[in-house]
Amino acid sequence: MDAETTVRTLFNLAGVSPPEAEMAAFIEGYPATRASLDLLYAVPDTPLTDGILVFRPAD
Amino acid sequence: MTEIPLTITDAAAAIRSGDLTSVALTEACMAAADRLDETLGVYIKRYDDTALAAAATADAELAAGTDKGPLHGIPIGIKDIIACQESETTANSVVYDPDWYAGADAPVVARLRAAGAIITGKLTTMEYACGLPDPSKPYPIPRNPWDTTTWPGGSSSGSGAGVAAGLFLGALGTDTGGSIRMPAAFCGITGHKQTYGLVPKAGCLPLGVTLDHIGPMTRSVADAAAMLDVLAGFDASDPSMPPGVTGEDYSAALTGDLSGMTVGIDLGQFLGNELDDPNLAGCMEAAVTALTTAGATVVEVTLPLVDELGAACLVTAMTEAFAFHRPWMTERWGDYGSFTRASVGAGALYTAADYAQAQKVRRIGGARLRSEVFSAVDVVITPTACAGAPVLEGIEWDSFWKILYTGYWNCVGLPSLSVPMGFTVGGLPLSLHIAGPAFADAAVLKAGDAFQRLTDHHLAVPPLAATSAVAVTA
Repeated sequence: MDAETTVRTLFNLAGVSPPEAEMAAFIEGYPATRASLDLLYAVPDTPLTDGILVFRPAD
Repeated sequence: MTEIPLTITDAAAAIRSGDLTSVALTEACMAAADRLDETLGVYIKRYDDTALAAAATADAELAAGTDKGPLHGIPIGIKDIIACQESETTANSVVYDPDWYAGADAPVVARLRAAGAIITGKLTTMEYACGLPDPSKPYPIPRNPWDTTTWPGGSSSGSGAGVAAGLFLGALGTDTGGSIRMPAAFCGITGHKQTYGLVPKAGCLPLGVTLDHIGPMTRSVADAAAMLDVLAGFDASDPSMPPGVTGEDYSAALTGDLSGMTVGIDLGQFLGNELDDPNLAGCMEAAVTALTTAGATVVEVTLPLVDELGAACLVTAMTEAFAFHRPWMTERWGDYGSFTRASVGAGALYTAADYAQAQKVRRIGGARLRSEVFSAVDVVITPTACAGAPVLEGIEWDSFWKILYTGYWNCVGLPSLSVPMGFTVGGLPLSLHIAGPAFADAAVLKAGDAFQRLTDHHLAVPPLAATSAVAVTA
């Protein structure tokens, strides 16, 4: 899926409708955003690590 | 007659020696606001009447022998995302709920009041602690007292500019990615982001709930410690606090003697960057000399996962912020400022998997810091930012985010302090960042205080404020 389709789809799913000029800026910036997010998946040992959010059923 | 004291510590001593009253000090701060606030845009709402009444009460209590401690009678400002009983909390936004926490104090404000502090009013912030100054919205544009063409930093903009210009002696700021330490650095004051969970956050509008902190902004580390002495400790209203967590006597930890303390410095990743101010390396070298003079041993370290934790900070903050704002953003997108729309709105573009992965990276980052860094050193120093305050005209996200080194520490929730360490070639403040392991806030403050006992950068007054200062009479 290309950046424009992805960004428009995600905003649509969120129920948010930025005007076209702002949508264009989100689309332009999306590949860099995605690249920085992909860094997170390259960190070793994450698959078997618990995240920092811990569920406590008694809370 | 006496000069307006620069620090809480000096003001508290002057009040107790009879050289100053809380009323005179509060009036002097109000007079400074009368002269400077139209230029600096510090206040959203002033509480002059209630502040003067509280100051008179403080004077009467002290005269009767009731001494509530070093904050008794001291003017303190509150960032306008934290609730105060006197007025609604706007978050610098036209999109807010006037009934939220109406008529009530956040626990941190209640604690300051109980310690005798004089609450002077509500201070400018970036919109919901995230946007940037937006002239199209009905709020003051905050300016840096060192150069009013520049930004004081944010999001605790009014807190930073107001302390630097003497509109109050201390302030509460909040910090999700650097919003206490950035304006502290740009305005040449001290700012402390404590260990996550040490200070209650109830009554504070959230940005990123797992990254948000409330902390003191003051001229000196001693003043910040005096405020943290009051602010720290468990409150059942905040589920992010470890049950039973207690503060300690942070002021008592400030001995000036760093014998036995090992300080790590990451030269490889935080110096020599293309955006470094030419004076930065020299300031860092002088800081190392000062810490060594105080007794510390300084060794090189390498902080793990710097880029990855920076990315984790952004995805966490903006996802959590978007979850909070989504109901309003779907209906009132255009009522938010343009920078808030661009940053918080981007939270819609992160997936649930991205958010969950960021929380794993945060866990690993904290573990690696413990095993690779804090097993060998007590605190770590870096610059707070590699350059001074950016100019307001044309400011955008990259104007500050690319020069700032603070978000890393929010991601792992560790105590962090910014203290002034010199000036850029253009005469704007540069600052030293000191961080430590979880709940080692006392060690972080101790290192910063020792540095300030050997330097006077934190006592430098912006010319704009110095030329307008007046003497006060007890």
